[in-house]
Amino acid sequence: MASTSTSTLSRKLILKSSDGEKFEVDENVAMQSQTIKHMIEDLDDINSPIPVSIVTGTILSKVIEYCKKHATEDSDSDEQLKQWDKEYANNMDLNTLYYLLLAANYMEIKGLLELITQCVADMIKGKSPEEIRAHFNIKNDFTPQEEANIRNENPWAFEN
Amino acid sequence: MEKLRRGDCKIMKYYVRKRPRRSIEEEEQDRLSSLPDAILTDILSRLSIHSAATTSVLSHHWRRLWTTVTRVDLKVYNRPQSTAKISYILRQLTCRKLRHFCLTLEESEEGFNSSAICVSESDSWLHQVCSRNAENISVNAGYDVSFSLPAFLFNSQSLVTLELLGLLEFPKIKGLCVNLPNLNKLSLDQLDDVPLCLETLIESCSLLEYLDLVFNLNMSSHVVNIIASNLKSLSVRMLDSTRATTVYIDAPKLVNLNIEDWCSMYYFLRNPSTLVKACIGLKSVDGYFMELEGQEEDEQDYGLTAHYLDHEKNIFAR
Repeated sequence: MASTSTSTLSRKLILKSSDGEKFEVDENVAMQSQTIKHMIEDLDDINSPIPVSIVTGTILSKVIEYCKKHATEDSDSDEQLKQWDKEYANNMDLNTLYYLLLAANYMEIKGLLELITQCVADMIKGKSPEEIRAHFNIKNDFTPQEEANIRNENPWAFEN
Repeated sequence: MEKLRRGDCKIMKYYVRKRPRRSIEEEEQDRLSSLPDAILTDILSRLSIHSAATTSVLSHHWRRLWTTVTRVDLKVYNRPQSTAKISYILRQLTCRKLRHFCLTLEESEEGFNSSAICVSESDSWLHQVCSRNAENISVNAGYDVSFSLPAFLFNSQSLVTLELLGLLEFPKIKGLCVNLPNLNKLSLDQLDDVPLCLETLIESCSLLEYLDLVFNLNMSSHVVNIIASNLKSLSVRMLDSTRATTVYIDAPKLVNLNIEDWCSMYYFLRNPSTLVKACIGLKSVDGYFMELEGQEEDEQDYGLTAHYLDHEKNIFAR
């Protein structure tokens, strides 16, 4: 354990996306993903590319961008980092957010998962069911009668 | 390095803005609903219980998802429909591990009527919560009505944090069974008596690191024993004590100590040699306040501090 940690800074890892794109990253950047951390522990040859099987190159590059920022957090204050997180999340469209959520979940990157989850929760907050459906393209598969019944079940949730 | 990262960021923004829209079919897919339920539960847990329950009407997929939330923050007003609603919500919950439960009893405009929320109701709420393996429970019952604590609350193995604010009434059972093996933080604000089981409660929680106690003792003199082998932070506040209370503290790993008191005697059974910060507020007519601060005080020094705590009090309280 001790021998690996001394060379942490200089070591590079290669991550390979589901569509074959390769990314060379510092070990401390990649280690923010618990999944990769566990993979490295089991790996004999550190120079071979590590497959991140369900994440595409486009999404993986965004994940790496987040991890790079958070690997060197000493240079920024907490506030600056929060601001950066906010801008990072706001610049994503819905599709990217979904894929990022899945990637952060699969790669077990706690901070990124929390950031995007909160971002989606903020989109739901304060919206009526109709507005939520429109925002996320959710198809209403209830009959009007079924929907009315559910509203009657939880009337407190819909009073406003 | 810095330049490079900024550059990356710009490229990313450019990329996102200029990227042509994906095909219409892809845009119109409902990706949110297709996310794993665990992620959706996490999203819903970040909403108020009202917002979360609103999603029950979105589609069949969302019908019962809101009941899996792991964080519930409820406010109860003094109205029958409000208490009925709380009972209903808690009965609906299906999560296996309730991470946070926060309950606030708020005064209505007409003033709080103690009969509105009866003991059986608050008991059944807490019972529901404990049966969901709650980790953090916080109750703010206000200081207008006494809040009686059910015995099962002290037998909740999943509990990590317990914060109770109100005129707390401990169960009047001799030899209350305490089994809180994971309790890390306990806050009791406030107690108008020293419950028989308090000492057992504190001593039996082997993982307890944070303890906040607020007393409002105005009858006879009392003895408070605080024996906590892993305690790191202790705060004791005495309000309106007219008689001297004796507090015995045996917490060898104490790091932070905060006492607001002007008429009790404090004894350390063992010197907390790890103590880093101690604030002793001597509330008196003149409101003297003394702060002691030290870095890694050695044993002798703190033996002294504990000692001259009584001493100083006599000087300042005049």
